[in-house]
Amino acid sequence: MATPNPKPPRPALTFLRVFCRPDLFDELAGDLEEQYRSRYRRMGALPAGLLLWKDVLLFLRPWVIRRGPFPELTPYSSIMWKNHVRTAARHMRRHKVVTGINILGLGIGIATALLALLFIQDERAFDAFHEQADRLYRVRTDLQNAEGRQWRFPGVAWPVSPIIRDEYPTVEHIVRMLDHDDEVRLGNERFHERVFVAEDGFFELFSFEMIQGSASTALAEPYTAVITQAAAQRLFGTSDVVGRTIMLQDSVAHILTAVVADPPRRSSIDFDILVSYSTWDAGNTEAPEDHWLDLNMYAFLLVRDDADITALRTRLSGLYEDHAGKMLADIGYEATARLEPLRSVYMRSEAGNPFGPSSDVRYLYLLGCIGALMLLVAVINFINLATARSAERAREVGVRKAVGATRSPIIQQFMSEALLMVFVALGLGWGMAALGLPYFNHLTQKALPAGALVTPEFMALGLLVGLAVGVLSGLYPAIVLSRHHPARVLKGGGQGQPGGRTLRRTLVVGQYGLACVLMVSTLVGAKQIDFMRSTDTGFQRENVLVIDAWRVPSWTLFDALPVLRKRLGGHPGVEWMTGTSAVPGRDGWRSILVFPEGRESDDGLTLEFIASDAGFVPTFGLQMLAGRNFDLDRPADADESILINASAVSAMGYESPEDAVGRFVRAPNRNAQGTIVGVVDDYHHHGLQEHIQPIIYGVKPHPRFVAIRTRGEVPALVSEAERVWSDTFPGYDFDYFFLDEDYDRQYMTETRLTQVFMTFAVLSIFVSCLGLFGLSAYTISRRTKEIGVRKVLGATRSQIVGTVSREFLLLVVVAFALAVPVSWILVNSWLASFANRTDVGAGVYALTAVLAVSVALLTVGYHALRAANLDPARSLKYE
Amino acid sequence: MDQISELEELVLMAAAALGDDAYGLVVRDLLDREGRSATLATIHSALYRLENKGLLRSRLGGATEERGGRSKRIFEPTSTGFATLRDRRALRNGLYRLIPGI
Repeated sequence: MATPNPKPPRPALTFLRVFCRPDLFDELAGDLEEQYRSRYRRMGALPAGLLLWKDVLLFLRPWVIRRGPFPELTPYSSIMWKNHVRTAARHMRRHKVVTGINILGLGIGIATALLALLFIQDERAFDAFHEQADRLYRVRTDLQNAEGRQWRFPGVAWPVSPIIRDEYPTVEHIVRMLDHDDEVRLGNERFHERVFVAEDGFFELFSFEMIQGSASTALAEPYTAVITQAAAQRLFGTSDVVGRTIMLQDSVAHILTAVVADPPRRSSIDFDILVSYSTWDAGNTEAPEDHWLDLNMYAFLLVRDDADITALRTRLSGLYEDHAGKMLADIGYEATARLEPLRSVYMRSEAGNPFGPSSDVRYLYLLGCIGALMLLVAVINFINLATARSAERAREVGVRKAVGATRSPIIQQFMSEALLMVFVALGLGWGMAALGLPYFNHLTQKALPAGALVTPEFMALGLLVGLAVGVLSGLYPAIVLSRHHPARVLKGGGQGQPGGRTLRRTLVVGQYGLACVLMVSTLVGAKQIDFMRSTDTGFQRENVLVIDAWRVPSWTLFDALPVLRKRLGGHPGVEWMTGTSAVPGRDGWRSILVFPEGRESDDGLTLEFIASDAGFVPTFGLQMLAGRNFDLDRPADADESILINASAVSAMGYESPEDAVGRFVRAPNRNAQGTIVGVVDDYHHHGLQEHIQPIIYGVKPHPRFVAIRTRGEVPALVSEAERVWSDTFPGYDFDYFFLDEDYDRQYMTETRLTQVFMTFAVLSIFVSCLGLFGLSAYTISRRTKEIGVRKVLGATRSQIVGTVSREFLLLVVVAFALAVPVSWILVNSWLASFANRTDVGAGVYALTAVLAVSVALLTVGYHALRAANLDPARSLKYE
Repeated sequence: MDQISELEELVLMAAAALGDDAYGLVVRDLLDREGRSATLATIHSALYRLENKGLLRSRLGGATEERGGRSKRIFEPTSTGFATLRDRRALRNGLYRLIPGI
């Protein structure tokens, strides 16, 4: 049985008391309490409490809310407000430096937060333009081997889509896509466009705008294709191209059936040309029903309105098991199909995206945090300076009170000053964000339009933030000051520090600590990048010229390699050359399944395959540990020999490199199959973020690059190579790069991240210093008299600077001490994602400490010196 | 004469019906029983609006233990309020008589 006399939850009524007109409080609270009790008896404490809160909130009506410090705007009070604003402006003009510092700091904070917000908003809007976006899904495959290693693939096995189509009634429509790396030929011109294969129905699922042609039939017939406006302009110089023909796979004619608008900037499917899926079906003779290991088919689903997604997920996850579980288990794998909402493919899919851009949701959190923290630092500063300065104005308040001002106009006066400053800062922040946008876009590799800064939502948000900051920073000093007893204030001197000293110090420590954390992160980022760049990669990066032949079909290039070798090999600048599918730093074919001799037949192993030739080992300066390299004079090498690296020896379970030589490796993908003739010493084929993985090399007709180890004059060699190239492959561009530069591109992400951190570190240090500057100016102006007395008593200048700076240095030291553990945890968790990493080291912290202290000293020292140089006679004259 | 809304009319009627103990909560409960639900805030707003229009007058009255010892604001219709109620009723009855078969 409930208590006969229940009390309503106190906070609700307290809240009511806060906002409600005092003369109304009793009757409203009484009614509420009475109602609460009757409800309490009828339905219990919790519902009654919740309903009470609801009723309290509903009382937030204009006629109930108290007229606090803001009386209603009568003609009279508008004159008063004008006066307030005028006084505020006058005050700002008089204290130019402090006001300037205040506004600048807040402006920077606002600009940073704005850009971060813009970025987040932009990322989140990906793929939102599809009308059926919330019903669209992609199916991904998770593969797991017996040892528990996991891979995620953005595609599904070939037989999966027909099964979904036939057996899943909740899936309204399924569209298959293939990634189809192909070039387009028009007469003698070749174009490299993003060509994908898409099934009929693509345009019903996705809302890409049709310009010419019909959405329902565009991709129905075999040998037809759809082209975007921009691609049509590039190829034909006009967008009126329906019915024209393009050549794909060198000589297969496709008729263009439709022109679509270019995919929007925020689309995770970004194509130039789509070829109908039936084309692929018509040209493909082997039935793919049993290709359970080819995970390069992509399936997009449109589920029905009323579909139970949880049930669909559960059913899908068992699909592989039901249809091919035994066959997969025989080779040691387990596959699971997973449903991913299309909206999350761009940001949250670890499987990647073959059809366009993809991002990482962690960057979003990182940027959001930094933006919020920067704004916080700026706001802290603002409030800090406002409270510090409020003390100086105690006298002004005293006078005002003495001549009869009540509390509310004084509070209003302070509020209008704070708000005026905040709104100037808002304008400044917007301006700075607009100016900083190009740089920001460069940092984040985005193309954010400046127009996004002035959308109504953004403006409204800015106003809200501005109001909040203004009210916060105005209210505290206003309330404290308006309490002052006029008589005491006007007597002068004796009132000591105003309130809020602890608060100010805490805030300074907080913001300076944040600056230290950012500084440490920047230094560690730079250190790790430097470490990765300078560590020995185990191959020779210098003096390797690489020709990128991605336009040339690989078998054509393979057949032409002997010709290139003959014509270039005699050149004095060429030491070695090789044709390969992947130079160091580029991906070979990852996740190739092999069955090495001597292991159980169900005990497969996945590794990377690289097509190469006899030139690979000497060109990159690799060491042979056992056996022999490929041999140009042994054509049989191409069919039956492979090389492996040292990591593969242990992965395959052999005792030593010598033990591995002569073993046979069986592989479903014939390229990786053969007898091991030699073992190459390990080298970092991929960046140092990764451990060295097992690799198999085979002489196969899949080269994409021609790498040349050069000696002597490089420019002469480049022009010679270009001549030979255009003789051999007329009509193909000569694209080349140098291996060392290209290899370092793998560190782009880390470099950019460090740049972002550095930018924010510099900004936050700057803003913190602004705060320190303003605060020290104020402190010293308050201690002028004390300093005068000290000088008269014989203190030297340096002693005075010391005395004055000590207080601030202490704060900086405390901030640094707090920053050490926080940054330690942060930085080490980032470093943990690297296979090869540097240690944080004391050096980073020492440097940060020195920087923090010296910057603070410089900031404070300027004022301290000025104070120390003051003539004591003058500073003591005033009494 | 002031225009009054449908809800205000009902609140006014309820205040008249409840005699000399009409305050926010009981007005709400009465309307609730008769099938017109509204929140306390709505009822209070309506009561104050009616007072501003001169159809109700109010005084502070009996505090009870049940309401934590806080006083109520008790409303009663003014003569204008009663007149308004009568006018409304006459208007409605007049119209009802014209509707066949109700």
